Amino acid sequence: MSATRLHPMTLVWLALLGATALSFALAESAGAVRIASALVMLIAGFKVRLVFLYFMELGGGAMPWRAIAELWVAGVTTLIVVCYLMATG
Amino acid sequence: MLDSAGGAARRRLAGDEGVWFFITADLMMFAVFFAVFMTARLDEVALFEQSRQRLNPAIGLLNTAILLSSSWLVALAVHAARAGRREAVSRLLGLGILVGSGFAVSKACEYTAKISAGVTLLTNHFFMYYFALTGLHFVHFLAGMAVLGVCWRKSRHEAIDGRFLVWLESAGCYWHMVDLLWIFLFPMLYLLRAA
Repeated sequence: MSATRLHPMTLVWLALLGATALSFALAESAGAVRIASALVMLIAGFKVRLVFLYFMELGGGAMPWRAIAELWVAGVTTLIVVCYLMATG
Repeated sequence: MLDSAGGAARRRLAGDEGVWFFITADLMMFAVFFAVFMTARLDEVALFEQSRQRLNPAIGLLNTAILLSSSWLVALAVHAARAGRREAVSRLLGLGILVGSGFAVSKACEYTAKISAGVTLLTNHFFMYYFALTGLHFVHFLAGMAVLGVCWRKSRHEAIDGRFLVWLESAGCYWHMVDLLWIFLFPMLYLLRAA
């Protein structure tokens, strides 16, 4: 069972589960709370982008929807991270 | 045979454009809600942190795994439909709905535990946002399950043709939106710790 035989959607799913496990471990880790929490949100943004590009098939560049999705992910991730850092800084 | 129909119908955008307008409107609405929650948190960091600690992140993690897995099964169903594999479409959609229904069970348990512990919308600002945001997301979840159910029934009784494919792609994109909204909601509500 080589990894190359896996369906592309399965690879995306595994990447999403792996990123989820990583962000959960970061959130539960001791120390460097601000950096860990900001990283957790950045990972969430990365996961959402994977969903847009692969599960929702915007990776082919269907405009203007791809641009809207990219701007939405970047905007929401930035908003949450900046507000979080302002509250703790 | 669907290969030709599906190939001819293969567009750069998965699903109906009208559904994408709806998805975009929903995304913008949730972006505003995220902004409202995060700015409210600025004023009451200690209260939001104490309240956050009353949530069980393991349940949030389980819900994330459930929605990601259901989304994956639905994405596989779309690919199976393009290949004209009716049995696989029906099986994958059925599994996607079954796995997705775990989210409803988990959420019902979580809400019941909170309410029986005396935690409601009126407890404080954090829980007002928690119930409002997760409740609104849950309404979207229920709508997604209903639409997937319609697609599952169609996959068993109707032709797997280009028209069906547009239905399935549109339903799938809506379902993935329910998934991605939760991807932001989970860390924002359950994992963001105050330093």
